Amino acid sequence: MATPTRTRTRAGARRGRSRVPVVGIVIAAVVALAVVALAVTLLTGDDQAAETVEVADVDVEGEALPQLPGDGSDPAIGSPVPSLHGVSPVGGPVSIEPGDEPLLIVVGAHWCPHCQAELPRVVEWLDQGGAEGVEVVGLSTAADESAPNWPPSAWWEREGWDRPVLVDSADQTAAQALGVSGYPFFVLVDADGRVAGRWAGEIGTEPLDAAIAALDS
Amino acid sequence: MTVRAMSLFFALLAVGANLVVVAAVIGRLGRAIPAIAALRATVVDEVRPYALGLAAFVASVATAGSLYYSEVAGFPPCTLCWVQRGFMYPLALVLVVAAARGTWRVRTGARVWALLGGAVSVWHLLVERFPALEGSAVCDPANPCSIRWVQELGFITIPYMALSAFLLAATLLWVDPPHDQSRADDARTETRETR
Repeated sequence: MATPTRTRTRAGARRGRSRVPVVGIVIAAVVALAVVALAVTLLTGDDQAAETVEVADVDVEGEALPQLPGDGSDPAIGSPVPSLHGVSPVGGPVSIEPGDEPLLIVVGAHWCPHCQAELPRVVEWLDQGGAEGVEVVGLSTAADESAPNWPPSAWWEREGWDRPVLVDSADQTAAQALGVSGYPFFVLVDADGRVAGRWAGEIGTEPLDAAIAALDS
Repeated sequence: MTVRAMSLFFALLAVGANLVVVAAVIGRLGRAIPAIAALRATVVDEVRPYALGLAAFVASVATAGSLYYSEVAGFPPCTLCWVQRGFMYPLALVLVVAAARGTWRVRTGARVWALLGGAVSVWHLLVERFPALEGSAVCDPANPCSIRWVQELGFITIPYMALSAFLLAATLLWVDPPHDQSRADDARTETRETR
């Protein structure tokens, strides 16, 4: 025979029905929250980016680099880096191509939490004189309007990135040409236009410092 | 409604769920205080007949929200999202059937199930906050679990919503069944045993 664990003497428990319209209150609360959400959204509106370009075609000159393997090796070391031609978020022409000085390409995806963590570190490093004598450019890739932290141009700007940014295409033409295997991604090109190093992920700035120092030696 | 409006709606529901759970915890911890004990008893008695149905409603809304994000908003679920779905979807199904049949016996198992799902949500929240917990410092283009597809009110993300739903469902399943329902369940068991 079952023994009630507790003695219930209250009227509601005895009757098994409530005196308060609980279901009605719940439904009213849910509807009220829906109305509030709709009203707030209508009143505040979606933040639309100013006239910026977040995805654009990229022209590639030269042979694409092989994708960076995850085993620590890099078959692209010493290979000539392809030239990339496209536009910046404000629509002006931007090219990533070897010049007279070494080149560091910083590849980031706006929705990627590791990129969101790494970009401020890179900016701080650059502000403190990192990559001295090296041309630094950004590549905004994998842009997805349905993903968080949209638009990418606002993110780069918000993080204090004051170097040129090339906008990648919808099918990530530029990233594929550089052999990007994950985000964030870095490509260091020596003054002869050949790949000196590639890194994927949050690497901090020490490997970049070391690799740039090795270029000088 | 736009995705933004729906996300804000779900976020407000999560806040409401949090308030109920916090109130329940305060009621439980403060039951030595007569005023709190009296209020708690009144509220619990009023909610008691509907607790199982409300838990089913909470799990169903969470299930619908999950499907909305993947099928309407187009946010691809990550691995941890799928694990949480593995807890939430059966929970909704079981609770809806139990509520329809008035079978309160599922509540202990369902409560444990909901808490296990909530534990996965906590882990997902930690991964969101500390992406390195994924075991990699690289964003796989194929959708890591650290992406915050939604962030409303500054802190409410999808796993936070899931955690809120799991906790509210578990809290509602803590409410003892109405007395006559307990007897009905016992009678069912006795009938089964005498067969």
